[in-house]
Amino acid sequence: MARPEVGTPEAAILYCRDLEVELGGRRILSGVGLALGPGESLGVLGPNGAGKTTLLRCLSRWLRPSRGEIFLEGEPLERLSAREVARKVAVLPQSPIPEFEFTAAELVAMGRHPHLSRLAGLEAKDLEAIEEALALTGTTHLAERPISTLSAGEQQRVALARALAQEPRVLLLDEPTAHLDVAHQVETLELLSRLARERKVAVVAAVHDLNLAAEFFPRLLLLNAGRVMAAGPPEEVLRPSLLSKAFGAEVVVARHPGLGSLVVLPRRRGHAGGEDWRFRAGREESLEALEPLS
Amino acid sequence: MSRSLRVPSRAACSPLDGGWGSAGPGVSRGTRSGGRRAAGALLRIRRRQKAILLGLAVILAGSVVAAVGAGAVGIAPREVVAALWRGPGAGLNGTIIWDLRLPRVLMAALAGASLGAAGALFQALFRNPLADPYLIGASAGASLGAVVALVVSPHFEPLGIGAVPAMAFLGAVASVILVYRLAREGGGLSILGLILAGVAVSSFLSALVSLLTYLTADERLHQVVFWLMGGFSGATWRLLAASLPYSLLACLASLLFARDLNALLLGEETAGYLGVEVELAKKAVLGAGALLTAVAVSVGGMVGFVGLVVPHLARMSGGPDHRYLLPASALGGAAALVLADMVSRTVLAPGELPVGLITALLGAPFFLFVLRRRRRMGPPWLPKGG
Repeated sequence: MARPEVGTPEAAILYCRDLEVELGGRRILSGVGLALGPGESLGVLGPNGAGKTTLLRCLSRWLRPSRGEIFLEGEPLERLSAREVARKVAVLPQSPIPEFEFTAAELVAMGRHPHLSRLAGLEAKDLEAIEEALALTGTTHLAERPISTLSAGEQQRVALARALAQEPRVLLLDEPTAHLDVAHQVETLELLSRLARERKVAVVAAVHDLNLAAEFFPRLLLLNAGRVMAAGPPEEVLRPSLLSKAFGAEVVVARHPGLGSLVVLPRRRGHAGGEDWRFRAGREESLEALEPLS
Repeated sequence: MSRSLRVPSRAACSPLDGGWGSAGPGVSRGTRSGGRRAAGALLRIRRRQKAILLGLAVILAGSVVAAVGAGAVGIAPREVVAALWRGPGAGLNGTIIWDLRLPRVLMAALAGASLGAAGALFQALFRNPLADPYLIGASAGASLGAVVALVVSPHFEPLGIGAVPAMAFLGAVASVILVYRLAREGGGLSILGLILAGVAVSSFLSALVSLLTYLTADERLHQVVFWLMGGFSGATWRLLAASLPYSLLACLASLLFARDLNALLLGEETAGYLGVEVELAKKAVLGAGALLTAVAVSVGGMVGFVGLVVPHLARMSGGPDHRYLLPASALGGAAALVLADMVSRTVLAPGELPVGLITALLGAPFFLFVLRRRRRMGPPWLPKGG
């Protein structure tokens, strides 16, 4: 039932097949494939250690897979220089910004690095990209603050602005909503879907929150122990049987009657009833209104 | 109940009219109040940095004039400037200035500039504010080379520049190459490996230096000890001409990698995502820093503290951008060492103190004073008000 590939190879901006990564004799990824067209976005799910970060590192050329092929706009990734890749692909890694004294504006300006020659300064179009990136992430008011004085959530949004200043065609994000409060989580994911829809940016994001993933990503990829367990729309991937197998935790999946989106609730172990549930259409949502999802 | 379960609806993220500016609440807030805020901030930072660089250049010029004028025969600044303007050779003052003092002052400036820039490079490479130019074995290698030259044959002049600086330079370069080879793993250069290998090689070579000085217990011992404490009494135009090209080359190379260094402060992975060829950048910075250190040590001996303190002071006053930090550290290092050398040869005249003593004696308390002051007032490059 597991399907190794998502989407179609035709017209893909980012395409990979049969990816395999071995680090220190341990197999981290095997047989992973995906294809993303312009404006498509993909949420990558999976428990800790499933290989989400490793997959993103392969797609961004930081890690060279031991087997398999990756193509960026039809060109083999390993034949492109770091600079050529960075002009098209922006990455928001999970690692926090280290303690240092640049201001937020200077950090975001670093996003222009791949577009500038060694000694050139910022030009009008670079400044425009920086202003826009700050505006999109709602961090313009932080421009003159040193990074080390920002909260973790503010740092996360400034880091995203840095990635957006690269004006990428592909955005790879490792837990973009970590450290963010609920409003900023929604804002950030909304921003990603808008970038995909209006700018045709291809987005791949590792996401921990299954509800946010269901709400904001039309396609999901479930990784477990380095293999693709399921891929496709949320309805196909967020099945309780798959999720409990991957995460080792019992969950209830229901459809919200008013909103139509899937809701995943973790359950206590050993609680009676392991069936799927859905809200009964047309009724006020309440626990009594839950009924099994067939 | 229905309110509390509210999840952002599909409608909320359906196409929004008005494009980028007018979307979600937090987004529009940024756009409206923004304007050209980031551009203004970046411009203000650059302007401040340029002003500091200009100020440092003026301070350096003033230090050179003062140092050239100071000595057994005092020469007024006005006359120094006039003699420098006239060119070499005219009159007694001209001879003193051009043949005796100027090469020495310029040598101190070259060594100081090299140490300052090297310190900034190594602090960035190791992402450690305690890194100094001597961390990876250059000083120990230079010491060994110099001591071998002093003990074996101090008057042999292989390249017309004296055995001591030539052997010190070779020793510094050789030890850095050794450390580099030890620190390489696979195709990459491990920063931690570099530090560990540097410490190990340094202590081994220092032990050899101690052994050699112990075994040669005669009047040459004094010479060795004095050399190790640093000084510019051996400065000549020829030595200056022989070492200047290496320093210039390394300075220019490091400026080419200034923005890469900024990105590397985010960590190697993020720097790679920004298009930096991380391994190339690390090797270039290591090579440039090692060359600068080798030049400084071979012409001036072990002058401590300049490479550690000057980059810090430059960073405190103008921020961490290496396009500013590298030239600022070079200018500041040059001025600091010119003044320290002036003190070293005037304070006990006609005797001379090792310049390394001066830099540590004056540099350490000054640095502590600035650190404490800064903690009270906050970093000065922060914009005041809005």
